[in-house]
Amino acid sequence: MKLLEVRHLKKYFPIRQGFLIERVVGFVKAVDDVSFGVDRGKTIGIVGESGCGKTTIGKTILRLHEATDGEIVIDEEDTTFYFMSRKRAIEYLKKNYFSLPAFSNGGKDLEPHQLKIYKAFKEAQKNPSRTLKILHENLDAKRKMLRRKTQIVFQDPMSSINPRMTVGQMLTEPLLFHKIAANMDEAIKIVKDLLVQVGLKPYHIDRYPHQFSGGQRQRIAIARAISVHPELIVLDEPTSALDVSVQAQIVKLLKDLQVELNAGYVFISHNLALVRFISDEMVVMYLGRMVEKGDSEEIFDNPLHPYTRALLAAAPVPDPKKKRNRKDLVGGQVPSPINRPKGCFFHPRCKYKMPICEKEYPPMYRVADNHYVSCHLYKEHQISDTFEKGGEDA
Amino acid sequence: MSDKPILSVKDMCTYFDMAEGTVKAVQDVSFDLWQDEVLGIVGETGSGKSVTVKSVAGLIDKPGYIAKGEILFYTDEFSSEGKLEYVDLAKLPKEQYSRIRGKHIGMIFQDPMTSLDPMYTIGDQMVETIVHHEGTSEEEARERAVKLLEQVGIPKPVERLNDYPFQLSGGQRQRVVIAIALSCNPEILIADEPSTALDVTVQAQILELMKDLQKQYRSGLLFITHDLAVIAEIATKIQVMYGSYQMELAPSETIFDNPMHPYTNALLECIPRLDVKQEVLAPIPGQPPIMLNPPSLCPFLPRCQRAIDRCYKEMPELEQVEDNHFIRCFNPVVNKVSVAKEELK
Repeated sequence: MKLLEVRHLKKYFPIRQGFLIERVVGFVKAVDDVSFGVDRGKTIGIVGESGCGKTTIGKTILRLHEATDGEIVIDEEDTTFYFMSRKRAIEYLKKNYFSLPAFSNGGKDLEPHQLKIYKAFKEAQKNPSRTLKILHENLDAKRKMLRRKTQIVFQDPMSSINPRMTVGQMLTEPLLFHKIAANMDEAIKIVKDLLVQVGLKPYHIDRYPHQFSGGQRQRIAIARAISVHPELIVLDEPTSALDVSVQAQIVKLLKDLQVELNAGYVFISHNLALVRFISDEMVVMYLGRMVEKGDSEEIFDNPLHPYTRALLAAAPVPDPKKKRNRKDLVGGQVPSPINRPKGCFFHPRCKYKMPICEKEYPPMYRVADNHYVSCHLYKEHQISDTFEKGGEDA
Repeated sequence: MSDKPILSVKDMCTYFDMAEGTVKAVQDVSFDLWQDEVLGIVGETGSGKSVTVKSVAGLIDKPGYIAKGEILFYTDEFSSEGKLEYVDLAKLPKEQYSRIRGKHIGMIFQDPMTSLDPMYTIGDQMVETIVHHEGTSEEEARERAVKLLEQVGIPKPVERLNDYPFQLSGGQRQRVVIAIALSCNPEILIADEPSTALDVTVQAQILELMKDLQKQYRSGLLFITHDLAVIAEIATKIQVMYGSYQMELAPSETIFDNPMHPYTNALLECIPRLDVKQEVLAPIPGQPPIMLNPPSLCPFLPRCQRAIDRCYKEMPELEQVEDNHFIRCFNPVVNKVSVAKEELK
């Protein structure tokens, strides 16, 4: 059973223009048809350059952004519509579930999360709004549960922790809210243990954030994230603001905690070396789309997509004798996400461009057991049928 | 002029007088920079790497000052007969510095938007620099600006001259800054984290460009970064700084193959690597030092695994251990092959 399953996730930000009467003139397709999953105790790395949508994915999983489309299934429970308005939730259910053929003929071969919705659907005698009512039973508790299960650690700890609260105030609040601690005394005891767990001292409990160094602040942010026993932690560039010696400490802490908590990590980073170190699987993003995904080691040993190869060739290696692989380097820069190139988004910079690349966005081809690449070059190399259909042309 | 280093820094100390006390940002730093050489200065936040080059470029303002030491620059700028001689920049009056900066020392900083004026076109800013330092006419300067933009790889340079900085992307802006820095054929080029703010594919482009141009212009390059991988790419000589002191100074290969200072060793072992799969990273325990009123002992002492009794009593000096290899340590690491390297073989 996968802990997190993201399917065809889309997040479009509308661009509004006009004075007094605002009109939507277009969309920034920050995340466009992204699918991946992560198991308990495993880490999936999401890499890409700025503007590729990696942070938006993280925020959408946590429902800090509302998804435009797609399913976010956590623990066999579709959580996508938890925070939607009634109207939108019904539309969402209609589009993603009620229209499934299985829903009209007996609910055969449904996956667990679909089956749950099907049961409610049957109980409500196929009435959409009553189905939603059944599904939304105990919604507050469900929402609370989701908020407990999923946590996030941001890049800059100073902007994600409250400078006016002491560590103690900051860390006891979620414990009391989620009823993990029955009272303040117990909460304080737990917080002290937590501080030790993340490598701080129990007496740090009465200190304010400004009294800590950057690495220590990140430890506090991690302590806050793990305090509620989350099952899924989104780590959005947790070490980018830190010095290398401290980065290694935080990475080690995260790895140790993962074993202890058996949590699934979504590790978002632009640092390829770090992703190689920490993740089991990875997704490479370019302009909101996945270009390559699969087993980390497989991708690092055998990168296929020209963009992945360019990223790897561009990343400097701490060894003066190793010369850069100039062959794979690309020129130019990432185009604007508002105005993405036609066909494959990477074709204006790609050295292996073919005529088809200018016209069609390539589907994800499966080239090895757990290795998918979205590139026309590998049409002949796929080992089975196309895993997923690529999105429509931009 | 290649028999003498173009820049020779000797025992330079830069302090900042603050209300809370004196922050000793750079202490006893000495190095030589030769023409054709790329000296990489690597260190963590607050290690004094930026202050070192800012001192050289005369950019230290109150409350900071160069407390001690010499910055000898080999130039003919101040000689009446046009003879090359060493001028001590540390004692140079502020007004005189503008004859050095821009003309003999070019600078590239991390964020191009802080070096470019958003209110003027690229062309205006380039022409102004060239006219001021070289005394050419505006037309000549414009022609030169076009050539420079071409050299740094900006397409359609004639049209770009009329663009404002905001019309260019981050990578292109950095290219313009590089073009301005090179516009007067400086003997020394200072690059302070020039690629840190850029995406990795653009960073690679900028690094390749800087390497090419440095060879072409034959200037000495002072390259600052916190990233050991970037420094491996570009530097011929590396200075590792920690807590305001130089810890190690050696040719680039030596730093990576035979690092002798415990800090350099620890640093190399704690960076994740792209080229090998590592099972563990060896983090350096503890926190970076606070620079306010530190004891006059080795700054790395609280985090050092190899500390000996002597370390708690006196401050080690920067000593030469081999040819061109200097370290500041009483108990250096000798003949240790790091974990990552073993995996490589």
